Amino acid sequence: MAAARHLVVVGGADADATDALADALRDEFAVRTAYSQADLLASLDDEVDVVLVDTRLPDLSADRLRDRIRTDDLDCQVGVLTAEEAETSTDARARAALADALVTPPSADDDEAWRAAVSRLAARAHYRKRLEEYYDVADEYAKLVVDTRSEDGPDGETAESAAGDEDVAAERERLADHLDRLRDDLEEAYDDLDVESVFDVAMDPWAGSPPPWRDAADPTDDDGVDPADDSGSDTTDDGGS
Amino acid sequence: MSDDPDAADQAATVLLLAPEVGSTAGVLSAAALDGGRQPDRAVAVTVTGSARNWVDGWERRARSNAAVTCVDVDGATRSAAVATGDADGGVDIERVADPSALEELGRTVCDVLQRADDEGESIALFVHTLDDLLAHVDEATAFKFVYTLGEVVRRVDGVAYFHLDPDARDSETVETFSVVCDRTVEPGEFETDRTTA
Repeated sequence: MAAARHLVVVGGADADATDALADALRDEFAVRTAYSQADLLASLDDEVDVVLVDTRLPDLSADRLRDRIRTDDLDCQVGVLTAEEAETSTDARARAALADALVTPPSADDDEAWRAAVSRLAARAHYRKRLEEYYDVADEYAKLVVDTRSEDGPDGETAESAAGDEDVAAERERLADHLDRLRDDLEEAYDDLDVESVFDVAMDPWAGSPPPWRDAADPTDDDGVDPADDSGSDTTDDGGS
Repeated sequence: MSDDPDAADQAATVLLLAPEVGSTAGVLSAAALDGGRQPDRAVAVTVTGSARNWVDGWERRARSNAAVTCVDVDGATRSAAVATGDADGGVDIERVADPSALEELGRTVCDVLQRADDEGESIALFVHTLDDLLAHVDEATAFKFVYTLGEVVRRVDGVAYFHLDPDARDSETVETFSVVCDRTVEPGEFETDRTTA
């Protein structure tokens, strides 16, 4: 079975440039495009691995984007699209707010470099997703082991309890196999990461409340987007991961 | 997740289940190595307990001449006498101020391990304790930290020992951390000789 393709959302202010970048990425990734913040937020779900966001996107609020990713527990990685030499104060704020997920954009016409940059972000997203899943399954396995242990008593075994034991044993074996597969997958995923950034990827950089960037809240930061408008936009998707 | 002693040679991560170790953390660390390979460098991560206490216990009990590096977390609240990167009585000490900043802690430990590996040293890492980390972060975060740190250690052919007090944790938590480690050992499987502490 072929490996699933990573899903990338490209949110850009310039429709032609956004589409051109999306086309360049489609050789290796499934891609959705968005031309406004409302579109961008509507295109986010737990299938998304990488978000490339242009700081010139109309009404962009880095805070809103981070809040959405955080509250929905989306383990995607975010790259900021803007030319560093032309960076405005808004760009700088977005960069600061999204700094842990920053990529330096390659030159506009270097498709190979774009694909490499997105691959690095996708590798980070893959590790985080597998690590989250590993904890969830380990937690489930631990509960089962402890419950089984506490139910073991001196009472004689009935036919009914024997059947239950078989079910529990089968479930335990299923979870153990799942854990083995996740360990193998994580080991491979780790090899795709830079050792310098592996803890930034593994730890949730946006955990905790309130987020620290709220301390310097900018009154102009209101993006004017009603959360209810997050659905129903015209995003496109040429295949999920 | 095995408790098979035969798996000890292959284990890169060991969950050390023992009652609260306090001032005997270094003793426990040294005892855990009995019968196994002795490292060229012992790296201790101390959180609530002080690095100095760990080193005192280690030096009393260790049966090797391993060089020692301590990563002292939250140590500034106990003593600001020694700055990051300084040596204290021949022991290299790195400081991490915030015990909830596991990214920074991970990077710091990773740097220490990489430097040791670059020097060709074999490594044993001791984290005292997971209980202290769990006082600052949730179980899921600590779990991901343990896994990722274990992968770092595995790639430098080292062994990481994570101490957890089973009496201070519910059974599910102990079992969950058993899953993420290659092997679990409990008191009785090694002799801590605490009378020397």
